[in-house]
Amino acid sequence: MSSKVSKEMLLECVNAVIQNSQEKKRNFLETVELQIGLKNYDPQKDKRFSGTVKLKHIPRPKMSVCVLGDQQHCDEANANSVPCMDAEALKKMNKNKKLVKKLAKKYDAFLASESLIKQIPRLLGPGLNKAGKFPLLLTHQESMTQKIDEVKATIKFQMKKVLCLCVAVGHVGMNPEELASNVNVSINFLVSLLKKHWQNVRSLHIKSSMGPPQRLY
Amino acid sequence: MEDNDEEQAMSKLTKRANKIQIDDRDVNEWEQVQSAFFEHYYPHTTSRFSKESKSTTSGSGNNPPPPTLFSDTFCDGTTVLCGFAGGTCMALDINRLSSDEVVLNAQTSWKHSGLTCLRCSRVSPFIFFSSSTDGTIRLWDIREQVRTPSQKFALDDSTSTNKSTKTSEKTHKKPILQFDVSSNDQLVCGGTELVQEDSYLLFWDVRSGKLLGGYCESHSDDVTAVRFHPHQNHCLASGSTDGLLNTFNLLETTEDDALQYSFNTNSSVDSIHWASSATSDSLVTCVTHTNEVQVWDAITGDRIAEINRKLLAETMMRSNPEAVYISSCHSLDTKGVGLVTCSLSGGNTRLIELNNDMKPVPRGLFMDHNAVVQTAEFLPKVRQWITFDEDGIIKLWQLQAPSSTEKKQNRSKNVSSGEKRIKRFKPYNLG
Repeated sequence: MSSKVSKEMLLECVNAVIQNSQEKKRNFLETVELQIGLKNYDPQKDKRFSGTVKLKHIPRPKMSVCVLGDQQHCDEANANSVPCMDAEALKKMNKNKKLVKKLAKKYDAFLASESLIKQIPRLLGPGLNKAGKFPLLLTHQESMTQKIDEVKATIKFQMKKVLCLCVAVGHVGMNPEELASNVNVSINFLVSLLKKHWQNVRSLHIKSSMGPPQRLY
Repeated sequence: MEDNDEEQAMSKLTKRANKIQIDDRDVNEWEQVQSAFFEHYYPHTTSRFSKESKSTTSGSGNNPPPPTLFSDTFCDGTTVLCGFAGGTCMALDINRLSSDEVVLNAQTSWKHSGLTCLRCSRVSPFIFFSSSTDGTIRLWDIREQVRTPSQKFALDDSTSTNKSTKTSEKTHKKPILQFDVSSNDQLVCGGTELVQEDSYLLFWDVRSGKLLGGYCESHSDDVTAVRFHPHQNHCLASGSTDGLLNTFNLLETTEDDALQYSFNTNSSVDSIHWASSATSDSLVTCVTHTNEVQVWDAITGDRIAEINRKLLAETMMRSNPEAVYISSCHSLDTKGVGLVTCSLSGGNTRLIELNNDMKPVPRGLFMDHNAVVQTAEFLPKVRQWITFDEDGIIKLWQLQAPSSTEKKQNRSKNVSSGEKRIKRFKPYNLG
């Protein structure tokens, strides 16, 4: 079990993915995803898990983040032209399911101030939970733009009932080194989550949305 | 230049990946480890499960012992319930454990195929519950000679539900992943897998067996953990793979109002444990699938502590954070929270306590080589631990005083009384 992913192999695959996408231009920015096959793992019995990891480079630049903030955060958000809402605006929704759903659909992720995040279940009901977009905590010590970048750079692994999982690690507009380092961080994180580490990994592939897959492992 | 740096970093990473299985050792000298973990547990009894060759349908006599997946302690404090993959469960009386093999057969065990969770009644020492992927929760009485459930909780058409009754509910069974029984044995609450874009928390009345209702809005993915507050019957915490930990006040009539707090753990919730500290008696401790621990206050909604793998590895005095594995979470007799941790490289089972500031401090050392512990139970009355590891071995651990040379410095105030008591049993040679 020593044949892990070497850096040459990784760079080669990344280059191949990028090259393929350049040969055949699509009308959109292709996403590069990492696909992992598992073994010695029974998803029926073993735990399903999910985990988030922060990558070095932002894989999804287009992601929209909304700040649910107190006065100070709203001011900061407005200054940085980040969409924001304050407690009053949330109160107006009055747990109206349709409005909350609409809000949840409009953005990819939410950040909320400390004072507000506690009230969210009471102000909005479980709507954001349902959408899987419950806000992350934004404290006054952190810089807002940095935090937003952090959210954008964070990816989530999710193990379902099947023996494979995939995750977006970048896009074809990135340069090979960036992409390779993202892939590497993701692989290492995932492996650290698995109980038997590399013994649980059957295969690793990377591919762009429309391109052919490249086998890493 | 940048290229080079990148390459170096990467080769480092791959190197580390190569070594994962091996590179995990004690950071400190063994003596230091021994003195830091001031409670030393020695195996009292070691036994393993074996299947009776004829009674099982699979037939082959040399079955490896099944790994135990679930366990719970009956409220009498001396009987431990354990369940295996495949759906068999049995009750073990710790006083009758011997070093022999524990034989699993139709007379000694109960069967609930697709078993997902086991819980003992909080009131009666003879009753336990089991849940399964077939969507039912069953109540069993261990006094019954006939191994059939005394009560079944399931979704059926006849029950009139006042909340969230949908047509899909009747046509699809909902595999229950975990459930819990309230402290007065009145309610059972089961968390289900994601079924057609909804995952449910379902409530049943224990006495009548009727479905009372369900919540479906609060989680967007499989509900993996459900726990009632140990004293307050209306307090419930649930965790899910969507990363949220919700607390509910069941006295409210609708789901919207019942939802008290949602905590975003940023990972998925593996298990929940209610704990108390000097300042609050409603702390929710949650272990995530990334082997981190987070502590939240269910009254104020603040996050009190977050303990990542690195910190745990430091507390365990092990070198590799990636090999840290938390197998279970317990309430200790000193009001603290105990984490049973082990390293994936095999053995090194240690007990870490979260002190009043929710900082992890070393506490106990299990002085024997072990496989990775799947689940463990603490028996507060006798201050013993029982562990079930991946190889199907059951070990009962007994506290022993450190040898005379170490004794002086290591005495900490919160062991003294219990330690003395246990010392009397020291020449405890089990025949």
